[in-house]
This record gives sequence, C-alpha cells and structure tokens, in this order.
Amino acid sequence: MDPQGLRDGARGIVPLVVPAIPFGVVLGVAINESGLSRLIGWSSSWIVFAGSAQFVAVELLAEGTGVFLAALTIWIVNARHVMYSAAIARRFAEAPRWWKLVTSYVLIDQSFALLDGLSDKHADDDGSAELEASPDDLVEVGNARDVLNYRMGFLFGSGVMAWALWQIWVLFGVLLGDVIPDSWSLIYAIPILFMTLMLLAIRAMPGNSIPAVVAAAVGGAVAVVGRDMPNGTGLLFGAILGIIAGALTETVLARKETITTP
Amino acid sequence: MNSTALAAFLLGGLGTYLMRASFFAFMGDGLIPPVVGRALRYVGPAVFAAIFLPRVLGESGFATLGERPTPEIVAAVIAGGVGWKTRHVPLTLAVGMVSLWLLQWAGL
Repeated sequence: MDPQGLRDGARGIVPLVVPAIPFGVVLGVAINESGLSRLIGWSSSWIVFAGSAQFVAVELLAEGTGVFLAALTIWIVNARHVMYSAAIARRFAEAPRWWKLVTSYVLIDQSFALLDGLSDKHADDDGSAELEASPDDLVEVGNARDVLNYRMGFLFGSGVMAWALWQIWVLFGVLLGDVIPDSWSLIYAIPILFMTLMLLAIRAMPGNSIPAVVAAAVGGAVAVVGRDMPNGTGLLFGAILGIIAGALTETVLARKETITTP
Repeated sequence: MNSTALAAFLLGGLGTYLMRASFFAFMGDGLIPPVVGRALRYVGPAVFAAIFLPRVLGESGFATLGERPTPEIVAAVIAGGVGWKTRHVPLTLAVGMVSLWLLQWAGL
C-alpha cells in the first residue's frame, strides 16, 4: 500500500464522515437507553460497523427479538453492501487476496461515495477535501502498479479512519447521551447526510445525469411506498427497482442517441 | 438479553462481513456480467434516495405532500439546494439542521 494513498484516504474520508457524528452520538444514546449493557451495545459498532443496521438491531433486541430475526434484519439492512462490494471490486481486481480480506471489514457507504466522487476531478473544489491527486488522474501518468498501490492505500486508509472515528463517536454517545436534549432533533441529521451523498453521487456521474436522477426518484418513491414492509425490505426493493430504472433509462437514451446521430 | 444481543451482533456482523467481501474479495472483475456492471452505476443514487426519502416524508409517506409542508420537508429542500450548489457535506448538514431548528422554533 502506498503511504501517500493511505494519508490521502484517511484525510479525504473525514469530511464525509463528519456528518455521521450526530448519527453516532444518537446511536450511542439509543444504546444507552435500550437496557442492553453499554459494552454489549457498543460492541455492535466494532462487530457490525454499519450505523443503520446497528440502529434497527438495538431497537429490536431491546424489545426482546430473538437472535435469528435480529441477525436477519442486520443482513437485510446491510444487503446493499453486496452492491457496494461489486461496484468497488472492478478497481481492485489485481490486489492481493489478504489485503481484500482485511479491507472488506472496513468497506462503508462513504468509502464507496468517495471513490465514486474521485472520478470527478473537481470533486474537491469545495475546500473540504483537498486531495493532492485522485486515483483516476494517476491512470494517465503513472504505471498500473503505482495506481493500484495508491488506490489500495486510499481505500484502506479511508476505511480505517472511518472505523476508528465511528467507535469514538458511538462511545461518546453511549457515555454522554443522557445530557443531550431530545428537542435538538439530532436524528434528522441522518436523512440529510444520505440526501447529500445522493446529490454527490448524481453530480459525479460522467455524462448525462438523467438516468441517475431517475434511479434516485424510483428508489426513493418505492422505499416511501414500501416503508411499512417488514425488516427494512422496502429499502431493498427501492434500491433494486431504482437501479433497474437507472440502467433502463441509460439504455433507452443511448439508443435514441445512436438513431439521431449519423 | 445481553447474550442474545451479542449473538445477534456476531451473526449479523459475520453476514455483513461476507457481503462486504463478496465481490470485492472472492469474485473478480471477470465474473460481473456487463448488464450488472451497467446497473452498478446507479447503486449510489438509488440506495441513498431509498434511505433518506421515507425519513424526510415521515409516517404518512406521500400523503404528507398534500398537506402543509412539515419543517422536515422544508429543511430538506433548503439543504438539498445548498448541497446541490456547493457539494459541501458539513455545510449542507449545518444548513439543514439550523433550518429545522428555526422552523420548529417559529412554529411553522
């Protein structure tokens, strides 16, 4: 792993996970109030390491749900990671197996969004993520081995940094949750965070962004309609149908272009 | 309850790890069919939208849109505009939360 990649990744992920501070703190409060022991509740952070799934699981377990239904809920909420895994795999096909097995543990939505956003050379022009070089810039100037080493460092560095910060924030919430008033509505930071990640993903699209907008509209609408479906499957259906809608829209637009362009 | 929780976290965590590792560690690029590859481009927008939209609209879903807009919806629209314009995550979050607090404080 390239040390520069490690540093850039660790630095680059920070602005993307800063909005997760309220998420982590609110999750810590939920653990604090669930009736689970603080250590067991906090252990979800380093065992599962996925905020939405931890939230749902702690809630269910506090209500007396059994091991298998709680675990199934975690799997369903986290099923999107299969898609993230596949999306990221293309860039790391040549990386060593041991590195992949270790790094798998720290793969998160935000790493996915960050790597996705790096395709857009101007993704860092807001001053919040000053990346000295993006992996895709290096494709043009460096050799393949350097690019891979840089990307490996970048992904691992971003994942480890996000993991460490997440442990601290959730623990902070567990310990100090009692003094945070409910009236702050801190839980509302969660949808705002994911909305912003969605906007970044749409803006990072190369070329036409219409299929991405369609994917988001369908994904969001299906999830709203299916919000009362059991075990978070509304989210899963929304995601799958949104992806299909995006891919179909891209296909239709590409065909139209072929017809109109001589 | 604590041993049940620990067992559920371990089982859920193992599955989560295997899902994270699936394509990334066990199946290389060659095994992804082109049609799946095309679909993967839209994973981000679809998943993030499916997570945030139900939470913004609340319990009654799309029926909420027929009534007076809630502070959550107004705050999301304001934050969305800032996020689209600036692509700055912490700023967008701050604007969203401050908008929400102001709207709630004003009793709108």
